Amino acid sequence: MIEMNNITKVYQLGESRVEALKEVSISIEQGEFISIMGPSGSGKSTLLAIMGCLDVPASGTYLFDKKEVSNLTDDELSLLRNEKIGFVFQAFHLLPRFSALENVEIPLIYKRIPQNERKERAKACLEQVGLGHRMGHAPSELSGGEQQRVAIARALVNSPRLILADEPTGNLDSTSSQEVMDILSLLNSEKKITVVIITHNTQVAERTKKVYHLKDGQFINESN
Amino acid sequence: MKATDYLYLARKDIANFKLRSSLIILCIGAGILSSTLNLYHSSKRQEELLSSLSGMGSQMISIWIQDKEIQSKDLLFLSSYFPYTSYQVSGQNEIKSFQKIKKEARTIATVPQYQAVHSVRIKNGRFISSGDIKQRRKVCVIDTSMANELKVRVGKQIRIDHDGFRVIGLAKAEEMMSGQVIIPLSVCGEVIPSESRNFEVVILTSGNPDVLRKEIERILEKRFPDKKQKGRKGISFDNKRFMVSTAEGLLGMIKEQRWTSRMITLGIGLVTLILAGGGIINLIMLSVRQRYKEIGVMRACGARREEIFYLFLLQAVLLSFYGLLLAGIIGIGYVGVFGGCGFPIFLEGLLWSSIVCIGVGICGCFPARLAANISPWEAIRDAN
Repeated sequence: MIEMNNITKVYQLGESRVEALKEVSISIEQGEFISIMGPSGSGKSTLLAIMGCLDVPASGTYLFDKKEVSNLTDDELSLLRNEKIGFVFQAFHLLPRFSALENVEIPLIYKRIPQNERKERAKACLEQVGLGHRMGHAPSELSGGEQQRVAIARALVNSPRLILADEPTGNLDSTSSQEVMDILSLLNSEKKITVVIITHNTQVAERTKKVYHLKDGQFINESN
Repeated sequence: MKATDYLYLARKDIANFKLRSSLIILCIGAGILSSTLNLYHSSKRQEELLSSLSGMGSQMISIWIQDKEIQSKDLLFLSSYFPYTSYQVSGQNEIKSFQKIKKEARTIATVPQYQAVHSVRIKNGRFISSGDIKQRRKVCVIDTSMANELKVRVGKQIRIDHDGFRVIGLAKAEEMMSGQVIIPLSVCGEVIPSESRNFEVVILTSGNPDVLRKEIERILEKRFPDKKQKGRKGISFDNKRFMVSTAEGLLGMIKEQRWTSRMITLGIGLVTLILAGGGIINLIMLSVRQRYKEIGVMRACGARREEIFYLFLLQAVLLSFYGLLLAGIIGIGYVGVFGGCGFPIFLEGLLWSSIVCIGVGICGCFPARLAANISPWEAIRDAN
């Protein structure tokens, strides 16, 4: 499903040149549940951004479903993100003016789904993550765990093939972390959705089937 | 993204900046309303003048005396040349009935020929007579609508400033310009202060007005010699001591003034709306800045660049539209209550404002383009 070869990413910070990724190669099959661990500044989030087509590499090839991503136009990348990739962020990134239900509806708006169907699908996703009773609440009225579950519902609503989670438990207490990981595990085992988690937390990484370690922009080893 | 969804999202965003959005809408609304009502009032007054001038026909020649040294008696000789010559001195006064109803009115002190020259038709009573002038009687003629407002009838007294005048005649309202009180020329000194007087002579002729105008100019130049300045067609200035104009020349001048006043009004409106446009750019820029992270999230969720662009542009257009709507509602209400028949003029002003408003809305293109060009990952990383 994902085939990355010799991916490099360079940031220009003033006059200094920082190599965030150094010829990274990774192959991820459909239905895998993996985590990428590494210290701060190791390039984990940069890798996730490139994997999620939010950023472009300086060099290397990236095939998503056997299609070279660098050949896609900006609109095609938007469509790819909308239909095939769901994102879960550490800081949840919910839109504060919208209710939980409206937040989950957002990807469906960009997919031009009619309003009634949109509401039905968003409700089903919220029920799936155990928030059927909190649909009308604004993000500020929800706990951290609940906000992250709304974010997962938003990532799920277009039935993506890949979920990319950047430190999904980073802002949560242990109980909420457990709940979020349970949901992600369930999505992987039952719906065969590929899940890639970026984390510092070894307990989170242990829940995944494969763990990659990244240091200074390079994979140092892989463990099962 | 569908049009209804754009509207839904844009309205949510406007609601998020309630105070700023309201201020921008008020600013746009005030700009449109002030320029439209200004245009409406000036055009309405000019339309009234035009229609009253048109009603008098093209056989009228007006002479405005601008030199205060020239008195009405100095021009009485014109009657020997033209039998239908009306001498009129006008000024603004406060009119008060004995029921203490007050009204601002234009007082015209004149002679009996005024009735024939201006086609005044008397409904009740009579017009000013030669006897009233000779005996300096404090009498007046008003129109029926003013009589209704002041609740007076023929034979009753009204006060012009502090002097009592007996109403001797009521003219048909449609035959006179509204809000006028006509008194004998011989008593003008008692109610119209010399410094605020306008002296005008109107002659009704049966010959060619342009030929007669030149003839009148020749007579006046002979009697009041001074340097002559050439004016536009139909109007000549005699070193600003007097101005002679045919009805056609006067109509042309009023039409030209109308065009100028429209341009000035539109200019004022344009400046106000340019300021509002600046406000819109500022608000949308602020919105883009505050929603930097959200733009990243929307792009991650699949929003295309053009969808982000149109979303922010629509916000600007909506703000502009709400301003126009506000001005339209208040303006239509105002014109409906106070305006009478001037509705088409107001709508014309509103139409011009709408065009300017579209321009103001398009000011939102600049911040909308900035929003559309935000890199999704940079926006999300910045938020982290």
